[in-house]
Amino acid sequence: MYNVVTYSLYFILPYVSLIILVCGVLYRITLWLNAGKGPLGLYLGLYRLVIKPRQESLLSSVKHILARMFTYYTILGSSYRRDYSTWLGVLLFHWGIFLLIAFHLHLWLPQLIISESLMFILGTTVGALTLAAGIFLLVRRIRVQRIYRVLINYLDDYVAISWVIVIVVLGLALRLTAPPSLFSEATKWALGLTSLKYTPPPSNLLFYAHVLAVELFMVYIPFAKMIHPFSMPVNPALYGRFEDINEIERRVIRKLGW
Amino acid sequence: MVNVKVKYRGEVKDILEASPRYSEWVKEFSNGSGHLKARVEADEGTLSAIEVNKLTKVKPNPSDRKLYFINRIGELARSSRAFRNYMESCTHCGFCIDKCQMWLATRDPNNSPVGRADLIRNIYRRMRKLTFGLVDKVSDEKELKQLLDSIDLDKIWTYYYQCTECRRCAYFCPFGIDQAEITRSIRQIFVEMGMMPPFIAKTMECVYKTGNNMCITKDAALNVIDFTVSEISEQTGKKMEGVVDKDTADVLYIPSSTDFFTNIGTLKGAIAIMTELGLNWTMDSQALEVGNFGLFEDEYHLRRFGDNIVNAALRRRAKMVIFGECGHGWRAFKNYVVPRLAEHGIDGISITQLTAWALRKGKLKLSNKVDAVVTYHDPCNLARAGDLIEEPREILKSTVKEFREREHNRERTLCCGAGGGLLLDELMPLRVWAGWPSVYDAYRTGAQYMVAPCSIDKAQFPLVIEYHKVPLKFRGVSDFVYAALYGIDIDSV
Repeated sequence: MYNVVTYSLYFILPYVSLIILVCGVLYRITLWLNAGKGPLGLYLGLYRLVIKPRQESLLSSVKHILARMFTYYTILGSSYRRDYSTWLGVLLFHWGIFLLIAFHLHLWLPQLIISESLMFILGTTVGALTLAAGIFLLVRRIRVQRIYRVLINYLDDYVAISWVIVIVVLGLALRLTAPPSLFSEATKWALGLTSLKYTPPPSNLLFYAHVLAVELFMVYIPFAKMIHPFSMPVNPALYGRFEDINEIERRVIRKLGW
Repeated sequence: MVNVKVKYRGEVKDILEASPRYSEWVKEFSNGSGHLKARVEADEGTLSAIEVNKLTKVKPNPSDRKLYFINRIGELARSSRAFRNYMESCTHCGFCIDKCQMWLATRDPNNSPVGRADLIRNIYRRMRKLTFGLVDKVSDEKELKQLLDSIDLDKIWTYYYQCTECRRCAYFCPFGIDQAEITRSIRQIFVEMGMMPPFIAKTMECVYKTGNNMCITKDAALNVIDFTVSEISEQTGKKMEGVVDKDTADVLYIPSSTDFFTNIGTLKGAIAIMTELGLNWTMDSQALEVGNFGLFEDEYHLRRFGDNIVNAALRRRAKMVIFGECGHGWRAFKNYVVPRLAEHGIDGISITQLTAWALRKGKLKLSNKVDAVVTYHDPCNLARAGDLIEEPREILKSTVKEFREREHNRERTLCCGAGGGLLLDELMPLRVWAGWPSVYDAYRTGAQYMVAPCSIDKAQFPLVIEYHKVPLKFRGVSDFVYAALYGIDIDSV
């Protein structure tokens, strides 16, 4: 029975989760793209819908979207004040997740030798910062509703961030308590997954819980607000071309003979 | 009392408390702004004159309207990428709330981008139940009927006619969610239900009759132009001609029709600039309007009024269309009319672009700089939707003695509070407060003049300035060019 459960949850479910994640996200992007600009081929009568001035080429749109995705600079844009604390919270939380995901790739790269103490320091530091930022953002979310006297949060707004916090807490607890042998066992399990060969996962309750939480989160991503990182490249207000002053100059020269 | 303080660094008071009329704000907005509703046009004659009856697709009873409304939300999700994206990608971070000047003016959370969008998003998400957009399936008729009770169309109408479509939220939103596009989509549905505010409907009726928003006939236009050129001649000693309906001209100038009434200085500026540049130009009596109220309402009217300019350009065999001073009109012009003109090999540029370019090339010789301290209000539709940011600054810097940049400038500009078709008398209490953040921002620079090349600003700001008793004067950009060209006192322009 025990073997059946671990086999299903830690060998079958990872593939299912990954398939749902990839296909779900692609499907939602396809739905956005298929929606088209509008019923009559324009954005309610407009050829372009861009929000950022001085976009002169596709490259500048890409830069603009990447800047929004990875620097969150609009939060720092001054409107009576600059919200440094929220910006720092958002930055640490998202970059913490990016780094933690990057650290986990080490499971598939056992040839990369990093000392246990360095792994421990990096993992716990980044994990703790991400956790602190996550809790800060959750508290902020509740506070925003209170100060503006508005009910803006849906259930999944709380679920998404709480779930990430749970994953980070479990991962951090695992990192703090795991015996040194766990990493090599986890590596075997992970490599087993990529080579389609079942290798039992390390027998550790926190490991089981952490991995299961991640797998279920992967399934959850395409369904609700966790789709948000994928919405930006498909948002017509962020891409599109604007002319620049040189183009005006060319027109004036051409048409008015100046 | 204000619930969240919004203040400048170093100041103790909230921006609203800084107004001498703050006690009136407390009386008006202590319980939010839900009591300020745009009226609905009931005159069948007007609605039929502007073809709204042709666009109407539902009987005017509440239950039919509600069912139609939610059905259309489902359809928009399938046919409009922007609408679907904005319904699904909001994370409710709340960054947009204190960026919206409608919220700044009223402190009503429903009157903020996320509050306004959620009025629709709540319906959208209930329609899609647990999938939140993953499965492209709209609820069936039976399920939709269950939703009907929870929909308050009156509330949606109220708050969707308190959005100025300024897109400040879209700039600050980390995901770039453009509330103006949601507003435009919802107003499109209201038009299809035969609903439009009387001010907008009557203005559109004028465009149908005369080709401009102010119902100016050709004779009236010629009278005003005669008066304008004779004043120019008195002030400058130069003989100029205001050309209308010339058979063939290189350049077709499209003014804002309000320039024929309240903003004569702008019209003088435009005539002087084109005459000094030696252009072979004309106006078209059927297209004396850069504004396009279709942008605020629905796609059909946007295209119809845009095509009016294209037809005028073809009629005059123009090579280039020069767009006068207007904010929202520039968004429609740049993003609809210019691509349509390009199909016929005709170009379209703004008078501010032309003037900035001519000044840089030394084509316009200024006699002396105007002795004034000015600050520039970036009209929302020029800065965020139209890429016209540096040109007006270049012009002002070369035409006035001192130019002062205000704190909220360029893409971060504050809206005038009457854009998006909100230039309605019934919304006056809202307008005078929605324009206050921008006026206060300009006032803090210590400038004498607040300047913007936008007709809605020209109609709105003098009222706001007077209401709050601010020692500021409001002018257009071309007014300063005219004053600097001939060394005239700006107040007599």
